[in-house]
Amino acid sequence: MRQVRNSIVVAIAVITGIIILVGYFIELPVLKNLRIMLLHYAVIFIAVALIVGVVNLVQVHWKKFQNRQPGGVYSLILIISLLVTIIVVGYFGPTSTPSLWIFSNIQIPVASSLIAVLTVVLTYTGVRLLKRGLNLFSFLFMATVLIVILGTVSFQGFRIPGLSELRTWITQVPAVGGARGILLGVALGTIATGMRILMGSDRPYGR
Amino acid sequence: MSDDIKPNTETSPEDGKEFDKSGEVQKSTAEQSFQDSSSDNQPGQEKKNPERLADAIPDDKTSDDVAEKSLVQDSQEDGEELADDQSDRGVEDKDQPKLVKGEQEVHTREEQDGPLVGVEGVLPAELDPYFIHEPVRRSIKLQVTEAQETQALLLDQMIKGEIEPQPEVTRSKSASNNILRIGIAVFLLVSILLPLSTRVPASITPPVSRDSVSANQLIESISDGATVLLSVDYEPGLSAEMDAALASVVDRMMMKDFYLVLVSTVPTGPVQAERLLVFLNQGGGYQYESSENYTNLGYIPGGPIGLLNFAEAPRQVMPYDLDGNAVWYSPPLQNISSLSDFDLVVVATENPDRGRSWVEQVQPKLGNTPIILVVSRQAEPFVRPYYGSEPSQIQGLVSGFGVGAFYLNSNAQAGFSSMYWSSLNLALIVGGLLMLIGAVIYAGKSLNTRKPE
Repeated sequence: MRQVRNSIVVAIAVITGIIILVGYFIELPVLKNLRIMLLHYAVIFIAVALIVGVVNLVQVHWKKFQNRQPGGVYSLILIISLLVTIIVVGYFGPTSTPSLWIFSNIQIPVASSLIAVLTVVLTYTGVRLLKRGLNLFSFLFMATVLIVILGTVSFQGFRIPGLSELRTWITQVPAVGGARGILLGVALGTIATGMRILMGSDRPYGR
Repeated sequence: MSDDIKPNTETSPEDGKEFDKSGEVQKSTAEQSFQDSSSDNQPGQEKKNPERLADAIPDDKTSDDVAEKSLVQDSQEDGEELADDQSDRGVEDKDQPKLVKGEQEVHTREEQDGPLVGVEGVLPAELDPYFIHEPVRRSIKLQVTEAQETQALLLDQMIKGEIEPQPEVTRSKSASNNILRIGIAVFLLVSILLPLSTRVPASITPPVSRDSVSANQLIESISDGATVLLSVDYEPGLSAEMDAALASVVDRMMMKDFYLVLVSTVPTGPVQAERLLVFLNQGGGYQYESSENYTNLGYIPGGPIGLLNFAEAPRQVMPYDLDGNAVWYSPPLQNISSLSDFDLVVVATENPDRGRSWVEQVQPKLGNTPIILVVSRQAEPFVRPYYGSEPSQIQGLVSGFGVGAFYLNSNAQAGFSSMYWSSLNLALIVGGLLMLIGAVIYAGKSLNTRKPE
């Protein structure tokens, strides 16, 4: 019975994958409608998963608060914030003035603060980078960082000659070359994974 | 256990049961020895000597044990010891047929007492000593090599180490580190706030890049009042950089009275887009109103799958705007049935994966409609290959704050970029110099410590 069930699951996954894949190459109205329908289902599932995630988040934090675990007060703040935001956005609308006020005065400052702290931490780490010792790679790393940073800016119109050009070369040749290599790797990995799923040898949808 | 056997007992030749002189059935010596051996094996007590145990077993039953123990001998090492014990006591294999005969006698015996007297084949009421044996001893000693034993020991130590609570590692927080950290934060903060408070104008604009020029030309080439799909796909945390870069592009489009259709693959994106338009309305020479000049279709869930779905059937996937209006039947959008009907697509993101999703899932459906990507500086290297490919998959690339500032200045518009450019410039100089000083000091220290070696 279990084998039959597994076979059905694999068959559904493989057929769905083939229909979506073939749709990239062949333009048939029937195939397109089928493809759109399958994509609709997938998007609905993902949207429901988002709601389930929010409900789970509330449950976890409520339990944390109820059990008086360390940091339970923050969990309560999270739940209250979530409920207030849902009520405000639900009642006034997502683009209303109160919703925009919450977004501009709470969410953006909080998120930006984290990035600001990251800036200080990265600068501090950069200052102490060579503390553990000087070797070829740490030197190269430090030199690249300094060239990119100082090559970006100018001080009252003054630029260090050649630094800006060197910076442009670093960001557009080695960096883009590395990024292109990563993209090719991602593409090949995606193809390999897709093929494995289409052949049924890889089953990420569960047992 | 010969000491335990009472002297006034005798063994019945038929069934091996023991009777005392009064005729009362007593426990057999085997049963006694079994119980004794069981009691001797209590925890904390020493194990019974196999020789003594064998002494307590009657000779005619010993053969049964020999048969079982010989099985143990075949498979286990300990069995050899037992077999040696038995052979020392003169037990031979020729006793085995007697065992079979004895068993048959048991099954065909007559009942001696009670209402079933004389009936054959009755199951005995008492425990039959023929079926009472010393429990077969199985060796629990695993045959392993020395290497395996060492590895098992290591694993055991690791598991024990996991179970035992580890003392919390406390990092030494030296005062000098804290001072350095606070000092860096103060330096950066001052360098950012100083130009903002004094309103120092941007000292110099970034160098002209071909990318921003071609993006500018692309927008200029599109006729006024065109319909543009604008995707605001960046997180609130990076909105400072992205708003500055995108504001210049959107401002230019609003100047040309483009009708904007806003979407986002980030949950906060629709609000982000509204916020940007509100800000631009305050400074620009226009007043963009929802429905009249733009429509916000909201969030597209599902990541790349959602994008593909939207590219396949935009009307079905996003039928209403955020206010619940069926916007696809109103005049600006009534002629648009697919994404290729838009005049331009602009995507703003700080995430290389989202940019990749737009290029992979949506761009093939665009036909001749150009696409411009507005990305952060960190995402630029990952998006540039799509721009540099031949034929290019994206037709315009505006990257980061600096180029955005240039783009803005070239169009002579006020906005985020000119306000923040001086702060960014000074903060980068201070940060770079701090790192340079740190690198020189620590590199010098490192070289000094190497010399004595």
